[in-house]
Amino acid sequence: MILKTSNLLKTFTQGSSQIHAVNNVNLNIKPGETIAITGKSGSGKTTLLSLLTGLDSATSGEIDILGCKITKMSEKELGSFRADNIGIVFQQFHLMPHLTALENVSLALEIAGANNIAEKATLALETVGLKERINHLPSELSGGENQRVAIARAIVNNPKILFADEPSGNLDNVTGETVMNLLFDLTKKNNMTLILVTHDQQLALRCDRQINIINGIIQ
Amino acid sequence: MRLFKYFILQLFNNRNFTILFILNLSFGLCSFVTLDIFKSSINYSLKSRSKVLLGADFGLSARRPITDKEIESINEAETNNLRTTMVEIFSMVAGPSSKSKLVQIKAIDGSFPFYGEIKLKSNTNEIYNGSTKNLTIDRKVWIYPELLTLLDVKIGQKIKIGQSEFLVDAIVESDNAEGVSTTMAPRVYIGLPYVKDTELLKFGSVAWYTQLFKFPMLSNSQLDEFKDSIEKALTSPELKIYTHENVSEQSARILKYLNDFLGLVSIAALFLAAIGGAFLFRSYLFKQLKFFGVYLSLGMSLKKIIFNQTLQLLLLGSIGSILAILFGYLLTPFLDFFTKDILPFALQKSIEPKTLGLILLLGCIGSVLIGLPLITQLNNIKPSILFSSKSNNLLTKNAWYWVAFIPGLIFLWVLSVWQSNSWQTGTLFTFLFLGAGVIISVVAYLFLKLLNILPSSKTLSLNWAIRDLSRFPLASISIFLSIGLGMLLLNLIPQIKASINYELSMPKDSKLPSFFIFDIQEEQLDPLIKISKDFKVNLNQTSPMVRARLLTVNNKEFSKMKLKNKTATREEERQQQSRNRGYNLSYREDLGIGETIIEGRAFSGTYDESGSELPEISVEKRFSKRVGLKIGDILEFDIQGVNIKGKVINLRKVRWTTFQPNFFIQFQPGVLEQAPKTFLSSIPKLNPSIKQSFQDEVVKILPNVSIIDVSRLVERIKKIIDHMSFALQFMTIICLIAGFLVLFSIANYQARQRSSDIALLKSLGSPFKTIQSYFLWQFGLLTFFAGIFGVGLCFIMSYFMSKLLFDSNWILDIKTPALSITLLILVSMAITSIATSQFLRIKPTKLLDNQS
Repeated sequence: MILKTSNLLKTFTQGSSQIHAVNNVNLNIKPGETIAITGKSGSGKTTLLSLLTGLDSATSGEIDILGCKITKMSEKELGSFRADNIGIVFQQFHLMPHLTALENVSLALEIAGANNIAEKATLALETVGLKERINHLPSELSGGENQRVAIARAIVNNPKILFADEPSGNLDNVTGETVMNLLFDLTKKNNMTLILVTHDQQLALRCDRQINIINGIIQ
Repeated sequence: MRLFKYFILQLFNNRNFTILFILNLSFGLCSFVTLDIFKSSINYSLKSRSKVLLGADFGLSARRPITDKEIESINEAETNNLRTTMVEIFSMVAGPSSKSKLVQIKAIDGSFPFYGEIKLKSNTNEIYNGSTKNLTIDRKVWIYPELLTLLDVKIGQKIKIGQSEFLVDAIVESDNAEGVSTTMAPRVYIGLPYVKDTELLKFGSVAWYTQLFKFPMLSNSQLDEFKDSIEKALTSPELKIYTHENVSEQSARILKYLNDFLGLVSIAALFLAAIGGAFLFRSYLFKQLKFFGVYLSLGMSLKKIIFNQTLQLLLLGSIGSILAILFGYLLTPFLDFFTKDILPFALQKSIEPKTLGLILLLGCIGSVLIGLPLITQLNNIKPSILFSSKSNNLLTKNAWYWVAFIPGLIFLWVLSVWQSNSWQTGTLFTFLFLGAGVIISVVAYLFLKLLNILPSSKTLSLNWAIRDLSRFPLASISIFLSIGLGMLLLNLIPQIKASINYELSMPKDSKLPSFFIFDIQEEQLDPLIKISKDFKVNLNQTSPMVRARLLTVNNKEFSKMKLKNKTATREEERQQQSRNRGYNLSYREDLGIGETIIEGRAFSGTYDESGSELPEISVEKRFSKRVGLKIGDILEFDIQGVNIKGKVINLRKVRWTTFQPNFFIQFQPGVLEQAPKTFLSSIPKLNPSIKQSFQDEVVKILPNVSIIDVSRLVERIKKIIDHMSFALQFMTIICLIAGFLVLFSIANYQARQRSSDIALLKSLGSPFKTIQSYFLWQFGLLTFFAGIFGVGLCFIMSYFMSKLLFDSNWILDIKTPALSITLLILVSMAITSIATSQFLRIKPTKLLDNQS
């Protein structure tokens, strides 16, 4: 298994009551598998993603990625682990507005302490079809192009697992489809595991497996 | 106005901006408040003591006895009066062991003072009110306490004043008539009937003859009118006519100049606060654009938005001003530090309602002017802004944006002129300050460009910091400018002080004399030369001094100048002082020590009486400016009833800090030799072991010759400079705090704005320390280089100021810059850590929030 969770729980306190955003989740994901996590708004799918990526800590339970228990890791260890093994694509792109496309992609390599940063970043941008736009700032690129830069940044370190949170949510249908095609092609080509959070059933059907989540519980 | 509540809510929702903007403004303004409290406290303290300072309501003074006719004029104008006579002389006195000291002798009659009292201390330490009548019935003196050790004398022993001996009757415990003290000669009171016995009042002695009056029936405003009428009746330029209020104003003159410079430093603090304020407001406004779009879509007019936005600034300005008044008031205890050696009384703290109004006005106008260029850009907003994701680019700079800076610049200039009380100084300051600002900004821009081309470092956080400095040019330049200007001002004062102190500290190569001797009668020259020879020194630059009145310039009457009103500029005041004095003339063939001709030619030699040419005159450059003289002008003097004409042939620069006998006006030899005169001279540097015995010997043989110990004078001047520079540095520190607040505001704002970036870096695996170091590097680099550049600019400016303004050599003082840069880095690191810490702890899950 490339990713395994056992009895994963995330609880929020709201007033006097406690809400289980993720409730006793057990997952087993194989290498190269593509998984769609679906559910309605507020169902807990984004919370689950934040726990799986180590961006947030679980109330209880364990997450095992590539044989490492990330729930036991310190902030520093988690950071280093993410830099080397995980790629994340956000709905809002989250590119640094003052950095060019090339610099945004290079950033991930710099943090991971990679060599030949410029070559690798350029290659990643070339892979997503933005070779001609590498020196443009995010404000000079379209929404689809920005998301492609974000994908390039996510894959540039050759992560074993790619997490994507509604990657086409901020894009029009045509651009969204192009971006998703790119994402699926890249994961297949690089034999990456893709964990995709989406509320789009059509998109979910393109994945090997669909996990539906209601009130934090996997159905 | 109903809609203004929404704009107030807007401020509540942007508490970070609101608090930082108000704090910025209040720090920028609080130095104004402190200074105004300082000014009004001094004015209040002196004004409330003005009658006791003079000891009377009204006075007439001259360097000659006041004539009966002049006294009669007063009696005719106001019959109901009381009068007292006083003579003030600077002279040497000798104690029982022949130790001597220059003192200020006040010879008074039994009626002095009409107001106030002189408290004395007896042999038995009893404190009592001195009756001046006692001094007029016996040959007794009251002396200031420092003379006990300086003359090695005790109560009951005798001291020698001129040719007469006086018994020390008591020590002056407190003297109401003591004003702002800058003199180095302690005071001695003697009875008027005995002044003749001293034989000090010889021709040419430096003595002031005074008649003081009490007018029981005249109010203060009537006194002013009375003074005006007397000035019309008594036109002799030698005569000084004054009321008690004039005396208190005059006694605060030294503090006036200090206040002028403190005022300019306050403007610098306000300017720095304006930079921070403008940056904050710009960022705040960009954030509000979407809301403006909503208001527009709901039907609110653009004018209303602009109006309410301006009201918001006025509100912030008012709150900032009130806070500034509070901060300023809290700083007032520090005022006592720099007045304790200058003022003989405790400063009564006073804050005038005028000050409160003024600060409020400054805060409100300042805030609106800070925001004006940005507000003009709001004219471009359309409701379609709601459909755009790039709101920052919607405010395009049009011509109005640049025009809107002009009121702010005019405001800065008006403030500078107002604070310095001088068109010249105020305008020069505005240009120098803006010039320094422009230079620092250009250097900051080039510095950012240079950073861009530097090879990358191995340290990741440093690499990011270097790259991002140039990606946020406005923030970087604002910080660079604030810190650079702050450091320039902070180091400028000690740097100039170091040069002046070096000049005054008599270094080995110094040509400063040990003694400056004046009141030398012609027949005393030979004995003085003999004493000098006995001590193996030569008299330096012995110069004759002839008292004269300037009658005409180019055959036009040279009239006394009267200041039009109380708001006269310093230039007008100096002009008035220069025009209203009798003049000391001298003659010599060659240039003296510290003199250089800068315009015109040297004297042609001794005057040829048989020729048709007028005698040649040399005039000191600055004096010529004040009085309005130029080469070719024909001056006519009255010298003891004889009229002498001469022509100005050159303008001289004089280094007054050489402490050599120098004069504003000099004739060529062969003109004034027959005129009644006294002499001035100086004694070159003496071995300290024989200094006192030389002085004592001169006093023993020539008791009415006056000697100034230059090293003591220098110590006194240094002490005053220390106090002044402390006051200036104190004000500059407030200015630098304003600069630090800009740093805090920008660092805090940037960290807030970039919280998503911080979260992203974390999600990409960047450790907390790397992100923290990134911010520390970014602001540390900026402040370090801004500090270095500010100090460098300070070296250049202080060099030119030392050379051009103070006529002194430039000395590099490395201690203060080194200390200030070290402190700057430590403080800026601490500030950056505090300003960014809350945002550095942001959870990376923020990125998964789709509303972010």
